[in-house]
Amino acid sequence: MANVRSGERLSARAFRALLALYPAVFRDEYGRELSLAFIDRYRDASGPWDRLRLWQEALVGVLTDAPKEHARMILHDLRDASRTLRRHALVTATIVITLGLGIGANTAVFSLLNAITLRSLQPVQHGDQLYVVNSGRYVAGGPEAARLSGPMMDLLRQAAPEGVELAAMSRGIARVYTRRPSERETVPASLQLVSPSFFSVLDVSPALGRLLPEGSNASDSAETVAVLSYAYWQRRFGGSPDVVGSTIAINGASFTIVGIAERDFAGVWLETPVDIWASLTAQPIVHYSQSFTADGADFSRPWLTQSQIWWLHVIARVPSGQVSAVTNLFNASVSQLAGQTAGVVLQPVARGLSKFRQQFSLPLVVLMVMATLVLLTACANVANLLLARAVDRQRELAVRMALGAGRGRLFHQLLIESLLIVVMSGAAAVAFVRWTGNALLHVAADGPPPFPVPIDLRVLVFAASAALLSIAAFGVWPAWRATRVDPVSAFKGNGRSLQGRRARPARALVVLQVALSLTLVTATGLFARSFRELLRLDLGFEPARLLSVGIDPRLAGVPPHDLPATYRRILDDATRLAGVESAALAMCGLQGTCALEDGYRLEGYEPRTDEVVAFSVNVVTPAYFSTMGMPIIAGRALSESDLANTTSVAVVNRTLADRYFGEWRQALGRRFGLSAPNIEIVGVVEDARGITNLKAAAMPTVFVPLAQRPVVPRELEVRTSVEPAAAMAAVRRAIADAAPGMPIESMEPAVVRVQRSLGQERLMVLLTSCFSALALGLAAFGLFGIQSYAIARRTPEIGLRIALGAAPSEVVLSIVRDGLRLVLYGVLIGLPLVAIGGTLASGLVFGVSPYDPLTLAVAVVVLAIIGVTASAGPARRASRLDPMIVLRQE
Amino acid sequence: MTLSRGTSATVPDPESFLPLHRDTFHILVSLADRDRHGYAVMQDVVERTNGKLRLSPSSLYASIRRLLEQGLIEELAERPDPAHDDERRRYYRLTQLGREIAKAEARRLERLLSDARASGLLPRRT
Repeated sequence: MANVRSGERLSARAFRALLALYPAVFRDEYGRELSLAFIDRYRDASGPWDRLRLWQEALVGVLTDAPKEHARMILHDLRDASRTLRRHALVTATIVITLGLGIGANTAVFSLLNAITLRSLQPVQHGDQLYVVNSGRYVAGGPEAARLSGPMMDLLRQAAPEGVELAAMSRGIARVYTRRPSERETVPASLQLVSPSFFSVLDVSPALGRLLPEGSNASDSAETVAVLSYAYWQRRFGGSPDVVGSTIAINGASFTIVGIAERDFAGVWLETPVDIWASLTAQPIVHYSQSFTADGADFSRPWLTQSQIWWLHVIARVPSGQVSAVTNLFNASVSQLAGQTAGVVLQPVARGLSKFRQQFSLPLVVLMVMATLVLLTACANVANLLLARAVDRQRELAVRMALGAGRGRLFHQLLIESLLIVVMSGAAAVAFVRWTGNALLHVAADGPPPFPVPIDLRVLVFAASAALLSIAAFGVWPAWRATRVDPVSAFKGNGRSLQGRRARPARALVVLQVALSLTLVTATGLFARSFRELLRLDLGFEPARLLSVGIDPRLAGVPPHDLPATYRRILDDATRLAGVESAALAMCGLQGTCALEDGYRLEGYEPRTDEVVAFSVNVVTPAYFSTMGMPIIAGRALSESDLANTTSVAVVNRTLADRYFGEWRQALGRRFGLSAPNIEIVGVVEDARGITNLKAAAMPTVFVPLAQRPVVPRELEVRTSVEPAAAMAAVRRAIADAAPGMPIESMEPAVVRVQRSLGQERLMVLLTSCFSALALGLAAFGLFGIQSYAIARRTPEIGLRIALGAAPSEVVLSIVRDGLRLVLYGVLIGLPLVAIGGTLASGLVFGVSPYDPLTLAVAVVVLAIIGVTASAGPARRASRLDPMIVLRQE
Repeated sequence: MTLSRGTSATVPDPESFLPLHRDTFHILVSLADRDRHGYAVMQDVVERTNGKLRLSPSSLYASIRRLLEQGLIEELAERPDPAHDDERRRYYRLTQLGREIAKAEARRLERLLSDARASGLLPRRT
């Protein structure tokens, strides 16, 4: 009997413990009844088997019913919460918009950060096994800067152990002109030359047809087959399967399209999608010649076999754990190659290559920090609104408490409300980002986004985490405070007791907002000033009324010996146009992408043993300097009389002259050259900045006459007397007349190019301005709220003071002074934040100190104005109080 | 204290609750002749079904909670029979609505039964 009793007690206790799985409300209501029913059944059980069965039923019952009860509770709370939120529609909308903007700003920046720096190469499998082989002085530039020659790649391939695969691709993605047999006009496309193993190393399969022939299948015809990207196939051919097997002319040479690459694969360069892939051996027939470094090379011969032209990116797929062993093998192998002693390094390329990433990583991190500050400001506001609403709701909460709802239950209910708000805000934010993500990239790239800004799982998780963090920041604390209701005083004192307690945290939140806003406004000021400095920068040439035209005379079908006459015709025809002052041809123009040539020797200059003497070399026609608006500061410009059979001459820029001849005036008449110093410096020209990076100081640059160095000029510069846009049609016609069939790659006023190169700065200014405006608005709103509230609370006091003869202006002043005091505290707290921000942003500002006191002062003044404005409204209302009415109310 | 939900003027249509869940109907039937506490309902169901249906305590109280919310049953403020009362227990009673619904369900089952008879599935009543 005693055993039965103790078994019963044990079972009862175990069952009660099991009931903990139910929500507290259900347990409180039915827990006891459930236990009693269980014990009754236990007693009625007719033996151990029956008792076991009872336990089984009880377990299954509780385990299935408890989750249902929880779900029901949550649903119930959600219904209640949505009803409450609907009842306070205005406050709810304000909160959702505020938070939506805050989370949206963060998510927008994050989606950009995700697309540029976090997303891995699509649709490549095991991208973490992919490495770019880099070497020597290009290692510091990251995988983007890597460059190897064809023979080097062959050596590496021989050295590669079993299981390590290598692929090569041209460093550049060339703009080419394509034409199908049925078409009359050529269509531009982007082409990359790749090794046969390219697709297999990247693990890309064909969507249709096949990819480039590999191994023993590679026949002589390999050099004339092409693979299209899926996107290009869709765009140009509407996804027609007949395309496979058909021919297409690329820069005049006929290719057979053998297949379409896997969907979503657009090459390894993030911002430059590839339309067509062809074999590396096709280099001479498509006239590929870009993104290379060369030293004593013969450009007229195929590049792939020359060890002096470094034009390839080599990608290795290395199984994990073998990287250092493979690196050692590669180093041993490469050292056989003459003149190649520099160490080989494998650099991971799982996320693809991107100049954008290099350029935008730091700005995006800074923007991310700023967006977080905005979100914090928003959270502070929302917390304030919720605190204020808690005051309104304390009677409701007191009633519910009096009816038996526990504090935990009320807290739960308020949290559910916050959660609902967060879900709505998060949804608003994601919708916001769908639109802004691409728009931001549009601003950064100053054109259509070169790659998609996807809203993928990572972005959604980020938005959700931002939302959850916000709820932690703004929801939990107000809810906890709100549930500190004392029903008795709530009914008796009309809620005054809580109001008194509310003021201090609310004021602290406003101070925090001011501090965060100060940081944001100062940063915006810095970026705006930096942007203005860049706009006012002396570029060293005159971009206004300059038209820049990209051409490729090799594609005009002119025999090489006729090219000089063609150049002459183009220049003469262009110069003769009405509205054109002068015109010049250059090997490379505004973009500043002239190849760096090293190995130069200068008369009277002894380089240090480890010093590389490298110049940027441009080949130009004589009118180049006057056309560009580059002033000659010593000697003369190049002239028509500098010909192939006269003395080799050059004009150098000020940086070169200063660096190698001590002082630029000393450079005149000195000589330099590759094997022997045989080129005479006849003039020194002012430094000009490269358009791709205006912040960078000028490189040592040499200008040699086209007549003395026959290269292919790729740029025509036209100085106009009218708006350059107005001359564009005429210039286009003149080129078509002078060189029929020559494609015009681009034609833009130089001013447009300068502006485009400021994409990063523009993005910073635009976004930080938006962020600051948002934060200022929120801070003003918060301050306004707190002041209105303070006045409501002090109404009797103010009424009394007015009744005792205080002037309205005194009342206004005291309230405004109070607002300014909050601003002052905020500024004091914000100063260290500003200092930290300055350090973070120091790499991004130009021509202004990151700790610029003037900018800070302006920011403080802006905040003071906000402080006065936000206080003035409530203050004026207070000063108009009728003391009689106020006192009678009391 | 008797809490009943719904103060709206419109009385819900009993038909709209049909068909009832098996457990629900058994609980309503069990409360039809007299007020009972939870365990008494469980016992009654076991007896009437010859032990074929055993409600677990948890599913019984989940159903009771729902029936209370829907206003089909109510909790008694005073005990039905002080002599037999177990004062620790809560007693439940059918509301008017609950009774109407239980009747409607019974009628529905009856019609079903007579359909089965008419189609020869069951012997006709003599």
